[in-house]
Amino acid sequence: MEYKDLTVMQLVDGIKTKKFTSESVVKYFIEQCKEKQHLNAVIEVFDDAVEKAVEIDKKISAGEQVGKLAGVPVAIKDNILCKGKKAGCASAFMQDFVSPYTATLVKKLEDEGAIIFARTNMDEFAMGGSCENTYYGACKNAHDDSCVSGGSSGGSAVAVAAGLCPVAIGTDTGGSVRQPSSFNGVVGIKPTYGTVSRYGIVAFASSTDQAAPITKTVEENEYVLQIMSGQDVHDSTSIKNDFAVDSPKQKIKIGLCRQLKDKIDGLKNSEKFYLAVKKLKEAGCEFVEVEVPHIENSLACYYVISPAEATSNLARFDGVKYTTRSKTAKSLEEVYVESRSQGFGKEVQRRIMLGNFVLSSGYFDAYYKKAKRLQDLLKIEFATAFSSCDVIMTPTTPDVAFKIGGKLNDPVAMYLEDLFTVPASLAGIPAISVPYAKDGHLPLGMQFMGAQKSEKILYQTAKLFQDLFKGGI
Amino acid sequence: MKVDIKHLESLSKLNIVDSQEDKFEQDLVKILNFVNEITELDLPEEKKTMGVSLSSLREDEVTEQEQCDVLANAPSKKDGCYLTPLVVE
Repeated sequence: MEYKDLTVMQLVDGIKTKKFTSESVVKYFIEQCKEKQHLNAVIEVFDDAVEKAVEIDKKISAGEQVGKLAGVPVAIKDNILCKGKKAGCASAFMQDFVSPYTATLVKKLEDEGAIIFARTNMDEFAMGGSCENTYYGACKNAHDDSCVSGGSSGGSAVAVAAGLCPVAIGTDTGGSVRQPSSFNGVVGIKPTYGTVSRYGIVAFASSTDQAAPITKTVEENEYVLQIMSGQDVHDSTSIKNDFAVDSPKQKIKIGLCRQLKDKIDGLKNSEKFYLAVKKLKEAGCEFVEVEVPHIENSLACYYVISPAEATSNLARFDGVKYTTRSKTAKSLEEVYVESRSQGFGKEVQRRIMLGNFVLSSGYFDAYYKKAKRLQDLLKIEFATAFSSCDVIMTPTTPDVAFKIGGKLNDPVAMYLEDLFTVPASLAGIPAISVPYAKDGHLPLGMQFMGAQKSEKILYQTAKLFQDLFKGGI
Repeated sequence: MKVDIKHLESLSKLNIVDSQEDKFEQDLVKILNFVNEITELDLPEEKKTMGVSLSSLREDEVTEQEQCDVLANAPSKKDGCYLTPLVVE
């Protein structure tokens, strides 16, 4: 038995009952990170991790109360703040940034005894679907190191899949937790918007940003999300979402979206998708066809709204406040322009310009305002669809992980990766990706979306699904 | 679809090197052609106000945040302030 084969709950239990120590667990995972450095999943292992583990072990020996994550090492994405630790968003601009405070979600994990022990690779400022747009070099897929990890939370997904940590935290704006989870055969959720406080997460598109756990199993995911979630005075969009108290459904009603049928039928792996439908039917689930009339416009909508919000959020990186300033700049204007031009990578620059285009005079009404109206409409359409089903099922991604470099020069091809993940992001509803099959040696994930605050039923469906496909399809 | 790349650079406070400008422009045009479908949609008039709903607002007060922790990340600082090149003569 190795620690990487245990669940988070088994690790906590083992540490609390002194079957093994937190110190040995943390040291084990640090060793795994070193051994699998070539995957480029982990950027840095924090040097105080073992010390913190020893403290937990001492508390347990002294009979003191310890929390629900006592002694468990957790890796966090490089855009999540933990006071005194570096958080660089995998950007040259932010490489020396030291967090001046701790994100609420990190505090909640630490309050339960978790040991934040490493930070993970990502697409710069969370913009990308391959974890190739990173200052630290591309993160590699846990199942094939010639393929991308997916992104933007690629490092977090690979870290869990390759056994570098029992749980990692990612952030999902348009699919950045679900897509890399699908590519690496692990479980990733995007919770209902507001479930996890955004305080201490570097903002990309504030109206859809959410942090979430990536784990090996659905049960662990639910366990960790419950700990991370909660309303927070520091994030006025955070909500109370006590999904743990909801009761499970007797019979799950699964919706298949009519507007996505042609797209799913045209996929290389559509056969596997329908085989999964068949198996779920045999397991007692009922299937219904549902309508989300504008779902096909989600991708275009997202690539107007998210750059618009990004351009505003990234305006503060000006060479004055955050670590890096161009050495050649003389005037204040040059400080702004040269620092930003040298500090931001290409994809980030592209999205800033795109955002400024859709917000600029003459285009604001046609693009941004229209996209916001479409976003409102999607929320209503999803709510209507969920009046006739509990969850909506789609593939998480159009295909398995692609080759490194395969889509790097074609931004639109890269954006199409988000086809199935973006609708839930825009509507602010929860969605989870669960692995279920493989194409060759590369994993495929299934996505379930639910109504707002329906995490309970989503996890229930995901567990049923996980158990049905444990041995593959 | 045409974009004025120089204007966008100016709005974005970015300077794209000349050799990359054409590729940037082509990519932006490609993305805009891709998102253009939303400009042609016939959507019902908006009912809600734009943006996210605010569940609660807190008092705006300085809490645990230490000024020196924040300033520690500044590339240039003096006497508890950010330091920039001279703006006003």
